[in-house]
Amino acid sequence: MVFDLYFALVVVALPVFVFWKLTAKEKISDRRFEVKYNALVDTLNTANKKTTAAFIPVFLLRRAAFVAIMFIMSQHVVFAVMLLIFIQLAYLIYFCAMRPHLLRADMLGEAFNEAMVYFLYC
Amino acid sequence: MKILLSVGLNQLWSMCNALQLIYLIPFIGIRMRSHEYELYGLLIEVASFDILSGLELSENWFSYQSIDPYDEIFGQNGYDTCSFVKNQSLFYVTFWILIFVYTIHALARKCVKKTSWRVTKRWRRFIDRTLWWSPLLRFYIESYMDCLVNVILNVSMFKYFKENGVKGGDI
Repeated sequence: MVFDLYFALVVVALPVFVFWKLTAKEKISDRRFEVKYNALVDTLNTANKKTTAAFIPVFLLRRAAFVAIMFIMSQHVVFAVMLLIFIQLAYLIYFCAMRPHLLRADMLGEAFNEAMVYFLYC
Repeated sequence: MKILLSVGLNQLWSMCNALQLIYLIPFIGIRMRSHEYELYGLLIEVASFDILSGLELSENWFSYQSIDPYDEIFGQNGYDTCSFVKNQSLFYVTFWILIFVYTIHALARKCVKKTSWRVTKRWRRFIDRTLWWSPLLRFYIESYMDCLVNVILNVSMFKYFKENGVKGGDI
Protein backbone atom coordinates (compact mmCIF):
# COMPACT_ATOMS: atom_id res chain seq x y z
CA MET A 1 0.00 0.00 0.00
CA VAL A 2 2.73 2.43 1.00
CA PHE A 3 4.72 1.23 -2.00
CA ASP A 4 1.78 2.17 -4.22
CA LEU A 5 1.65 5.63 -2.72
CA TYR A 6 5.34 6.10 -3.45
CA PHE A 7 4.55 5.18 -7.03
CA ALA A 8 1.75 7.75 -7.03
CA LEU A 9 4.23 10.45 -6.07
CA VAL A 10 6.66 9.36 -8.77
CA VAL A 11 3.91 9.28 -11.39
CA VAL A 12 2.81 12.79 -10.53
CA ALA A 13 6.39 14.04 -10.45
CA LEU A 14 7.42 12.73 -13.88
CA PRO A 15 6.18 15.65 -16.05
CA VAL A 16 7.83 18.11 -13.64
CA PHE A 17 11.11 16.22 -13.85
CA VAL A 18 10.97 16.06 -17.64
CA PHE A 19 10.23 19.76 -17.96
CA TRP A 20 13.00 20.63 -15.52
CA LYS A 21 15.46 18.41 -17.37
CA LEU A 22 14.62 19.87 -20.76
CA THR A 23 14.77 23.48 -19.64
CA ALA A 24 17.81 23.05 -17.39
CA LYS A 25 21.31 24.22 -18.18
CA GLU A 26 22.09 21.35 -20.52
CA LYS A 27 21.66 22.19 -24.16
CA ILE A 28 19.01 20.07 -25.85
CA SER A 29 20.83 20.18 -29.15
CA ASP A 30 24.04 18.99 -27.49
CA ARG A 31 25.12 15.56 -28.75
CA ARG A 32 25.88 14.26 -25.25
CA PHE A 33 22.45 15.30 -23.98
CA GLU A 34 20.81 13.59 -26.96
CA VAL A 35 22.65 10.33 -26.27
CA LYS A 36 21.93 10.37 -22.56
CA TYR A 37 18.26 11.43 -22.66
CA ASN A 38 17.42 9.93 -26.01
CA ALA A 39 13.86 9.04 -24.98
CA LEU A 40 13.02 12.69 -24.32
CA VAL A 41 14.28 14.22 -27.55
CA ASP A 42 14.14 11.28 -29.94
CA THR A 43 12.66 12.26 -33.37
CA LEU A 44 12.01 15.80 -32.06
CA ASN A 45 13.31 18.94 -33.69
CA THR A 46 15.90 19.99 -31.14
CA ALA A 47 16.66 23.24 -32.97
CA ASN A 48 13.49 24.71 -31.48
CA LYS A 49 14.19 24.43 -27.78
CA LYS A 50 10.85 25.76 -26.49
CA THR A 51 8.76 23.33 -28.55
CA THR A 52 10.94 20.38 -27.60
CA ALA A 53 10.86 21.29 -23.92
CA ALA A 54 7.06 21.53 -23.89
CA PHE A 55 6.24 18.49 -26.03
CA ILE A 56 6.70 15.60 -23.55
CA PRO A 57 5.12 17.42 -20.55
CA VAL A 58 2.10 18.34 -22.74
CA PHE A 59 1.96 14.72 -23.94
CA LEU A 60 1.93 13.43 -20.34
CA LEU A 61 -0.42 16.08 -18.95
CA ARG A 62 -2.96 15.33 -21.67
CA ARG A 63 -2.94 11.71 -20.55
CA ALA A 64 -3.35 12.77 -16.93
CA ALA A 65 -6.31 14.96 -17.97
CA PHE A 66 -7.92 12.02 -19.82
CA VAL A 67 -7.60 9.76 -16.78
CA ALA A 68 -8.95 12.49 -14.48
CA ILE A 69 -11.97 12.98 -16.76
CA MET A 70 -12.53 9.22 -16.82
CA PHE A 71 -12.78 9.04 -13.03
CA ILE A 72 -14.35 12.39 -12.16
CA MET A 73 -16.93 12.63 -14.95
CA SER A 74 -17.95 8.96 -15.13
CA GLN A 75 -21.50 9.89 -14.06
CA HIS A 76 -21.79 12.59 -16.74
CA VAL A 77 -20.97 10.74 -19.95
CA VAL A 78 -22.00 13.52 -22.36
CA PHE A 79 -19.80 16.14 -20.70
CA ALA A 80 -16.94 13.66 -20.42
CA VAL A 81 -17.03 12.92 -24.15
CA MET A 82 -17.30 16.64 -24.98
CA LEU A 83 -14.26 17.38 -22.82
CA LEU A 84 -12.28 14.54 -24.41
CA ILE A 85 -13.12 15.85 -27.89
CA PHE A 86 -12.14 19.38 -26.86
CA ILE A 87 -8.79 18.29 -25.39
CA GLN A 88 -8.03 16.08 -28.38
CA LEU A 89 -8.83 18.89 -30.82
CA ALA A 90 -6.72 21.36 -28.82
CA TYR A 91 -3.81 18.90 -28.87
CA LEU A 92 -4.21 18.33 -32.61
CA ILE A 93 -4.09 22.09 -33.26
CA TYR A 94 -1.07 22.45 -30.93
CA PHE A 95 0.70 19.58 -32.67
CA CYS A 96 0.11 20.90 -36.18
CA ALA A 97 1.06 24.45 -35.21
CA MET A 98 4.25 23.58 -33.33
CA ARG A 99 5.53 20.82 -35.64
CA PRO A 100 7.71 19.21 -32.95
CA HIS A 101 9.03 16.32 -35.06
CA LEU A 102 12.07 16.61 -37.25
CA LEU A 103 11.03 14.27 -40.06
CA ARG A 104 7.98 14.82 -42.23
CA ALA A 105 7.10 11.10 -42.04
CA ASP A 106 6.97 11.24 -38.24
CA MET A 107 4.82 14.38 -38.33
CA LEU A 108 2.36 12.82 -40.78
CA GLY A 109 2.16 9.53 -38.87
CA GLU A 110 1.57 11.23 -35.54
CA ALA A 111 -0.96 13.71 -36.96
CA PHE A 112 -2.83 10.83 -38.62
CA ASN A 113 -2.93 8.93 -35.31
CA GLU A 114 -4.22 11.93 -33.39
CA ALA A 115 -6.81 12.77 -36.06
CA MET A 116 -8.10 9.19 -36.00
CA VAL A 117 -8.44 9.29 -32.20
CA TYR A 118 -10.33 12.59 -32.53
CA PHE A 119 -12.74 11.11 -35.10
CA LEU A 120 -13.23 8.05 -32.93
CA TYR A 121 -14.28 10.25 -29.99
CA CYS A 122 -16.66 12.16 -32.28
CA MET B 1 18.03 -2.91 -25.19
CA LYS B 2 18.60 0.45 -26.82
CA ILE B 3 17.00 -0.74 -30.06
CA LEU B 4 14.10 -2.26 -28.17
CA LEU B 5 13.32 0.71 -25.97
CA SER B 6 14.25 3.84 -27.83
CA VAL B 7 15.23 4.24 -31.43
CA GLY B 8 14.12 1.21 -33.42
CA LEU B 9 10.45 1.01 -32.59
CA ASN B 10 9.31 4.62 -32.81
CA GLN B 11 6.40 3.88 -35.10
CA LEU B 12 5.25 1.09 -32.83
CA TRP B 13 5.43 3.32 -29.76
CA SER B 14 3.44 5.95 -31.63
CA MET B 15 0.77 3.38 -32.44
CA CYS B 16 0.65 2.20 -28.83
CA ASN B 17 0.24 5.80 -27.69
CA ALA B 18 -2.83 6.19 -29.87
CA LEU B 19 -4.23 2.87 -28.63
CA GLN B 20 -3.80 3.99 -25.04
CA LEU B 21 -6.11 6.92 -25.69
CA ILE B 22 -8.68 4.73 -27.43
CA TYR B 23 -8.96 2.10 -24.72
CA LEU B 24 -10.34 4.65 -22.25
CA ILE B 25 -13.69 4.74 -24.06
CA PRO B 26 -15.39 1.82 -22.25
CA PHE B 27 -14.39 3.23 -18.85
CA ILE B 28 -16.16 6.54 -19.41
CA GLY B 29 -19.47 4.71 -19.20
CA ILE B 30 -20.54 4.60 -22.84
CA ARG B 31 -22.83 1.63 -23.40
CA MET B 32 -21.58 -0.80 -26.02
CA ARG B 33 -22.41 -4.22 -27.38
CA SER B 34 -20.69 -7.28 -25.93
CA HIS B 35 -18.49 -7.94 -28.96
CA GLU B 36 -17.25 -4.31 -28.78
CA TYR B 37 -16.29 -4.89 -25.15
CA GLU B 38 -14.38 -7.98 -26.25
CA LEU B 39 -12.50 -5.96 -28.87
CA TYR B 40 -11.64 -3.30 -26.30
CA GLY B 41 -10.50 -6.04 -23.90
CA LEU B 42 -8.02 -7.12 -26.57
CA LEU B 43 -6.85 -3.52 -27.12
CA ILE B 44 -6.38 -3.03 -23.39
CA GLU B 45 -4.18 -6.12 -23.15
CA VAL B 46 -1.97 -4.81 -25.96
CA ALA B 47 -1.84 -1.14 -24.99
CA SER B 48 -1.32 -1.64 -21.27
CA PHE B 49 1.57 -4.08 -21.88
CA ASP B 50 -0.20 -6.65 -19.71
CA ILE B 51 2.00 -9.54 -20.81
CA LEU B 52 2.54 -11.14 -17.42
CA SER B 53 -0.48 -12.55 -15.69
CA GLY B 54 -0.63 -10.20 -12.73
CA LEU B 55 -2.97 -12.19 -10.58
CA GLU B 56 -1.05 -15.45 -10.85
CA LEU B 57 2.24 -13.66 -10.30
CA SER B 58 1.10 -11.86 -7.20
CA GLU B 59 -0.62 -14.95 -5.81
CA ASN B 60 2.48 -17.08 -6.27
CA TRP B 61 5.10 -14.55 -5.23
CA PHE B 62 3.34 -12.36 -2.71
CA SER B 63 0.63 -12.95 -0.14
CA TYR B 64 -1.63 -10.18 -1.46
CA GLN B 65 -5.22 -10.24 -0.36
CA SER B 66 -7.82 -10.39 -3.13
CA ILE B 67 -9.59 -7.06 -3.52
CA ASP B 68 -12.73 -6.42 -5.56
CA PRO B 69 -12.57 -4.41 -8.81
CA TYR B 70 -13.34 -0.69 -8.76
CA ASP B 71 -16.63 -1.26 -10.62
CA GLU B 72 -18.19 -3.69 -13.07
CA ILE B 73 -16.74 -2.06 -16.20
CA PHE B 74 -13.20 -2.07 -14.81
CA GLY B 75 -13.64 -5.69 -13.76
CA GLN B 76 -14.71 -6.71 -17.26
CA ASN B 77 -11.80 -4.92 -18.91
CA GLY B 78 -8.82 -6.45 -17.20
CA TYR B 79 -8.65 -4.41 -14.00
CA ASP B 80 -9.79 -7.32 -11.81
CA THR B 81 -8.63 -5.66 -8.65
CA CYS B 82 -7.62 -2.25 -7.31
CA SER B 83 -4.12 -3.39 -6.36
CA PHE B 84 -1.32 -1.68 -8.29
CA VAL B 85 0.98 -4.69 -8.12
CA LYS B 86 -1.65 -7.08 -9.49
CA ASN B 87 -2.76 -4.80 -12.32
CA GLN B 88 0.69 -3.54 -13.26
CA SER B 89 2.70 -6.71 -12.76
CA LEU B 90 4.91 -6.09 -15.80
CA PHE B 91 5.75 -2.58 -14.62
CA TYR B 92 6.39 -3.87 -11.12
CA VAL B 93 8.70 -6.72 -12.19
CA THR B 94 10.54 -4.53 -14.72
CA PHE B 95 10.98 -1.85 -12.09
CA TRP B 96 12.79 -4.27 -9.78
CA ILE B 97 14.87 -5.71 -12.65
CA LEU B 98 15.96 -2.16 -13.54
CA ILE B 99 16.79 -1.43 -9.91
CA PHE B 100 18.87 -4.63 -9.83
CA VAL B 101 20.70 -3.81 -13.09
CA TYR B 102 21.40 -0.23 -12.02
CA THR B 103 22.68 -1.35 -8.62
CA ILE B 104 25.17 -3.68 -10.33
CA HIS B 105 26.05 -0.88 -12.72
CA ALA B 106 26.66 1.54 -9.85
CA LEU B 107 28.85 -1.02 -8.05
CA ALA B 108 30.80 -1.66 -11.25
CA ARG B 109 31.29 2.08 -11.68
CA LYS B 110 32.72 2.37 -8.21
CA CYS B 111 35.06 -0.60 -8.72
CA VAL B 112 36.27 0.49 -12.14
CA LYS B 113 37.32 3.88 -10.83
CA LYS B 114 39.98 2.16 -8.78
CA THR B 115 41.44 0.16 -11.65
CA SER B 116 42.83 1.21 -14.98
CA TRP B 117 41.64 -1.69 -17.11
CA ARG B 118 40.76 -0.20 -20.48
CA VAL B 119 38.08 -2.73 -21.52
CA THR B 120 36.12 -2.20 -18.32
CA LYS B 121 36.30 1.53 -18.76
CA ARG B 122 34.97 1.23 -22.26
CA TRP B 123 32.19 -1.03 -21.05
CA ARG B 124 31.31 1.48 -18.31
CA ARG B 125 31.14 4.29 -20.85
CA PHE B 126 28.89 2.19 -23.09
CA ILE B 127 26.54 1.36 -20.23
CA ASP B 128 26.50 5.01 -19.14
CA ARG B 129 25.47 6.10 -22.60
CA THR B 130 22.91 3.43 -23.42
CA LEU B 131 21.34 2.04 -20.29
CA TRP B 132 21.18 4.76 -17.69
CA TRP B 133 18.41 7.28 -18.40
CA SER B 134 16.95 6.69 -21.82
CA PRO B 135 15.37 3.21 -21.44
CA LEU B 136 14.11 4.07 -17.98
CA LEU B 137 12.42 7.25 -19.18
CA ARG B 138 11.03 5.63 -22.30
CA PHE B 139 9.56 2.77 -20.31
CA TYR B 140 8.05 5.17 -17.81
CA ILE B 141 6.64 7.58 -20.39
CA GLU B 142 4.97 4.75 -22.31
CA SER B 143 3.34 3.23 -19.24
CA TYR B 144 2.49 6.59 -17.64
CA MET B 145 -1.22 6.48 -18.42
CA ASP B 146 -1.76 2.95 -17.17
CA CYS B 147 0.27 3.78 -14.06
CA LEU B 148 -1.95 6.78 -13.42
CA VAL B 149 -5.14 4.70 -13.76
CA ASN B 150 -3.75 2.08 -11.40
CA VAL B 151 -2.56 4.62 -8.86
CA ILE B 152 -6.05 6.17 -8.71
CA LEU B 153 -7.60 2.70 -8.42
CA ASN B 154 -5.16 1.94 -5.67
CA VAL B 155 -6.04 5.08 -3.76
CA SER B 156 -9.67 4.00 -3.95
CA MET B 157 -8.62 0.94 -1.91
CA PHE B 158 -8.55 3.14 1.19
CA LYS B 159 -12.34 3.44 0.99
CA TYR B 160 -12.62 -0.33 0.53
CA PHE B 161 -10.49 -0.96 3.63
CA LYS B 162 -12.53 1.49 5.67
CA GLU B 163 -15.80 -0.15 4.67
CA ASN B 164 -14.57 -3.73 5.17
CA GLY B 165 -12.49 -3.13 8.28
CA VAL B 166 -9.19 -4.37 6.79
CA LYS B 167 -6.03 -3.08 8.42
CA GLY B 168 -3.05 -1.95 6.36
CA GLY B 169 -0.84 -4.61 7.96
CA ASP B 170 -2.99 -7.44 6.56
CA ILE B 171 -1.81 -6.80 3.02
